[in-house]
Formats: sequence, C-alpha cells, structure tokens
Amino acid sequence: MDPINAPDDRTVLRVHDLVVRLEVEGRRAHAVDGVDLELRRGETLALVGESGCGKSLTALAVLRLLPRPVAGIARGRIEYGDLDLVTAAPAALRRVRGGEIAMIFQEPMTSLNPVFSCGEQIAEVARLHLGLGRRAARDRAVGLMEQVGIDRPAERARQLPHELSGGMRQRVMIAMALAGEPKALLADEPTTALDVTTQAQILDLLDRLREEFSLAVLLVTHDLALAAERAQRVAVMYAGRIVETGPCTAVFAAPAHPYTLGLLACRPVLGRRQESLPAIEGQVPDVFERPPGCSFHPRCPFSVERCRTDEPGASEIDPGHATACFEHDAVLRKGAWTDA
Amino acid sequence: MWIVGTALGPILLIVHGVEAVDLLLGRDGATGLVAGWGAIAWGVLGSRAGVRDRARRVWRRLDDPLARAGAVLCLGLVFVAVFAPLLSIHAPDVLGDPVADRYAPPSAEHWMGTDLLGRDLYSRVVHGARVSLGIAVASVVISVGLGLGVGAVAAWTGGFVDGLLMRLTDLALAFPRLFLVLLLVAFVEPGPAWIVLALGGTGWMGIARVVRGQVLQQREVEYVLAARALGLGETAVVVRHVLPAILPPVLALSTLRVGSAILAESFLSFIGLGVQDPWVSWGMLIRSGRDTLLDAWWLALFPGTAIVLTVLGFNLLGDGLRDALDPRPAPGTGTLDD
Repeated sequence: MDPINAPDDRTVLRVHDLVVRLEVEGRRAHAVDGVDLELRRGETLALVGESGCGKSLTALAVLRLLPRPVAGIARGRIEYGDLDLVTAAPAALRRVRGGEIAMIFQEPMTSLNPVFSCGEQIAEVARLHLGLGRRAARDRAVGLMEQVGIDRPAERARQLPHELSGGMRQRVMIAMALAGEPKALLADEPTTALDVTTQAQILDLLDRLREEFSLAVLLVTHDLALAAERAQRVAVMYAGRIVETGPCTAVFAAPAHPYTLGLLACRPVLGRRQESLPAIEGQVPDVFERPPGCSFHPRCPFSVERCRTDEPGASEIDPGHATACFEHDAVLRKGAWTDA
Repeated sequence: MWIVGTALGPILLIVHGVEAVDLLLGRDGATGLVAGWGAIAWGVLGSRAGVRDRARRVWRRLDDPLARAGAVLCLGLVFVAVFAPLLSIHAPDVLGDPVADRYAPPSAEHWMGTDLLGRDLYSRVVHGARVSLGIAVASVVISVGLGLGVGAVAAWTGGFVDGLLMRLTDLALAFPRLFLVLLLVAFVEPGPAWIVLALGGTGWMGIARVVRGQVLQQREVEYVLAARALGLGETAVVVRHVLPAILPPVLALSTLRVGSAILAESFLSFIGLGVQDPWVSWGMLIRSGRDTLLDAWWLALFPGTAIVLTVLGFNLLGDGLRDALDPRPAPGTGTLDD
C-alpha cells in the first residue's frame, strides 16, 4: 500500500498507477504516467498543472472517455467501490457515468446541446439514472435548476442554451451532472471560460453542493490560487506524473517539490512592486520527448547528477504529504524561489 | 388548434369511405386519408410545446423574402396535391366531346384548355401535382433513410466499415444517375412504385456523404462527450444528440432534393419510361403536348410552368431552411454575460 493514498473510510474513488498512452501519427508516449489519486467524500481534491501535463486526460480516463484510437488506458486501476472501471463492462460503466461519477466540462457553450432546452437536457439524465417518468423528470429538472441558483427555473427550463449567459449555462451543466445523484464529481476547468465574478459564484456553488450532498470533487485546474482557495487536498502534476500531493495547507506553506515552489513564486502578490513576474525557466517538455530521469530536471535549479538518470519515486515527508524529488530537503529549506 | 387536429383526424379517417363525405372531399377517398393522417400528425406534433417553439423560431428566422416565397409555393403545392379532387372542375380522365372539346384553347370552361381527347387540362395538372409531388417526396424519403443509415454508421463506427461504405458510395456515384434509373426502370413494368424505388435508390449517395461529414464533426463536439460522461449509451447518444443536431442540414438538403426528384420524374415520364395512363404526371402531360407545341401551346406550357414553379419553390425553401435551421444564433444576437 503506497503511503500517499492510505485507505480511508471516506474514500469514494481510488486511481492507482494509471498510465494513459497517446499515439499521434505513429509517435507513442505515456501522456499520463503512473498517477495515483484518491477522492474522498465531502472533500475537494485539486489536480493542478500546466496545459499538456495530462490532467484532463486523467479526468477523462477515470470515466473511460479517452478519445479512441488516439488515447487509451495502458495500465492501472480505477477503483470505485468493488468495481474496477478499467475493466468494467460497458453496461456497468454507463451506470457509473452520471449515476455515480459525473463530469462537467470547461466550455459551457459547447457542452450543452444547442437544439434541446436546458430542462430537457437535465431531465434526460434524471430519467436515465433515477428511472423517473417524463413529468417527474421535468419537475426534478426545475428543482435542480433552482438548487444551482437559477432564478425563474420553470421559465429557464424551456429556454435553449444559447439564450442563457455563460454562468447560467455552467449552472445548467452542474444541474445536469447532479441529476443522476452522483457521489463524485469531476470538474475539468469548470470556470476557465468564465469571467472572474462568475467564476467565484460557480465555485461557491460547487462548495455548497459538495457539503450538501457530501460529494467527492476532483477539481482540475491550471490555477494554483484557485486550488489553494477551494480544495482541501492538492495534487500537482507535471509531465504526466504527480510530483507533489498533500493537504493544501501543508503543500502551499511548505512546498517540497521545486515545480510547486516555482509555480508559487510565479504568482503575482498584491501590494508588492515587481518589475516583472518571475517565471520558471524553460519549456514544458513535449509529451513525445520527455527527458530521462526526472522530467523536471532541465528546468530545475536544484537538480543534481542523478536527476538526469533516475526517476524519483514518491516519498512521504509528512503524513499525507508526499513529493517525487530527490532533493526535497533542499527545496523545503530554500522555501522560496526568487525571494532572496 | 392541435386539439382540433387530433379530434378531426380520426373522424376523417373513419368517414372517408362514406359516399356523401367522398362527394364533399373528393371522390377518390385519398383526400380523406391524407387529410386525416395529416390532421393527426398536426395534432400530435403540435401538442408538444418544444416542437411548436421550434417551428415558430424557424419561421421567424426564415426571414428572407425569397425563402418565404418558396415556403408559400411549396405549401400551396402540397395543398393542391391533397385537395386535388376539390380543386378540379372536371375529373382528370373524363373525355369531352370529340369534336367540340378537342384541343380547346383556355377558356372560362377549361381554364387551361383541353387535350386531344377533350380532357380538361387544368384538372389534369391539379391531379398531376399528386403524382409528381408524391413520387418526389417518397423517393427523397427513401434516399434520406438510406443516406442517414450509411453515413451515420460509417462515421460512428469508423475504421474498416467507414472505408468500405464510403468506397461503395463512391462507386454508386460513379454511375450517371439517370443511366442507373433508366436501367432499373427498363427491367420492370413502369409504375409509380418502381419509379419511387429507382429514384430513391440512386439519390442517397450525396446525402450519405453529407451525413457522414456532419456525424464526424458531431463526434468531436463537447456535448456528445458530456452526454456520454453522463451515462448515455452509444445508440442513445447517436439518436438523441447526434441525429437531431445534423437534421437541419439534412432537412435543407432533402428539400432541395425534392426539386431535383420532380425534375427526374418529369424527365422519365417525358421520355415515356415514367408514369403511364391512367396516372397523370406533369412530365407525361408535357410529353402529350410535345407534338402540338405550335398549335396547342397550352398543353406543354401549363404543366411546364407547374414544374418550374415547384422546383423553384423547393430550391428557394431549401436554401432558406439551410440558414434558418442553423442552431447557432444569428450573427449579432449574442447574449450578455452575467
């Protein structure tokens, strides 16, 4: 049993050693390379990383929604109760999707069908998973729309998606996700396409719903500040691997991986005069040309000789706080990237 | 209104065989059948608020005057076809006086004149609308069914099946359509049913290609992913989300196809391989006027005009529908963000 994901009676979903292979124009790579995650009831886990690090693929892989034939699960287990979603039969998978684990997407304009009314789309999920009749499902859709903070829900239910604003559409999407009474919610950049005030409202809503329904939430985001604010635990992803994971308080107070440290240093601080924002040197490695050893070593000021050849495993530095770095002691001591 | 339709439909169906009613609705009974089923369809569709909303929205967005003119032409034609016995003055096959009524020019008694046998051309054109439109619509329905099936299966399955189906489509497209139709019709006794099958069986390739392209596009769309993420099965995703989304372009294309099917049927009837007596179609009416074009000009002119107006109407409506059925909001009507 690995130390990071020690079993917990609140565990809803456990991802173990997940490997997603990617094949584009004959080139193959492991876009997600041995990821472990655990979602717990009533808790938000933030999966943080830059574009292309594999965080969205991880979320899609959980529900086996990877775009075939480009991507597929090469190895690993995704445990939901007694069920391993990697090997689950299509029928079992369909029951889990939406009924046990629901997913919401980044772009609320395109993730709703433009030709059906909002109410119909929510009702469809309720009919599918709760076995409701047409009328009961419609009533439930209106009830859900009220729950996610849509005013005049009965009227809105009859409108088409393009008649609503971006924030309202994302609320409809959330209502759709909740319609099957799931226990876990995967939110893939749910607020990236929205403006800042709407963002805060949607995240408040997700927080409220998480508490109300004891949902386990996976919040996939590139926004570290958002993760710090909204999640209880965080997993930082770089080049297909989880490089650091732990409770938000511990990870942000004492980052133990140079990448986390670098990300934190990149954040602008209100009230402090800065000529320019610090940035992590170098580029995210191409998924097909990841360096050997620790993928981060070409950009890492802490790197030593063996970072180039050996792959660091996860080591626990505090209960529940683990990092994949040989030099984590040095990182912890340094404490800040550019603050001298 | 739709309640009236649902109530009236079955009544019309029940009474359409009664002689007194047939006298009112037209002697052949077909009017009662079509009107009855039409009323029921109207009632069932109209009772759904979503359908009403959508129809109203489409009409509002069909704001191009030419498209509306096309719609009026098409609806008018459908009306004429359904109520042909009521609109015609004489029965289409009643012979007139062999001397007095032969080749009579247009007059108050015979609005479009008469033919060699003294039959009233106006009545024949009105009845011809039934056959011409019926054959065209039925053949397009077959084409759309085949095209939807082939295109959707090819795109959704992908891989080998996709390649096979699309190469078959290419092969079918490599034959000139009228050559195929002539070949098919030459082997059977000419009749409306065979013409429908021949035209339907040779018109699906273009539709299959359009459908495949649309479905391929839909496969990548986020709401299809969202639907799968929320537990819908593959078939349900295709039927509930993919097909409704691709329906607008398919519907617009089908409307255009009705026009070309009418032309194809007219051509077949004109060269004598299409509809035969006692059926009446516009193509065969023109054929019967071909030899007397300079003397009895009305024989070719009026059915020809009917064909031109009809094809024009369907083309205008098809073009208009293509724009009006596009689910994306029209330019300049974006919503405000909250």
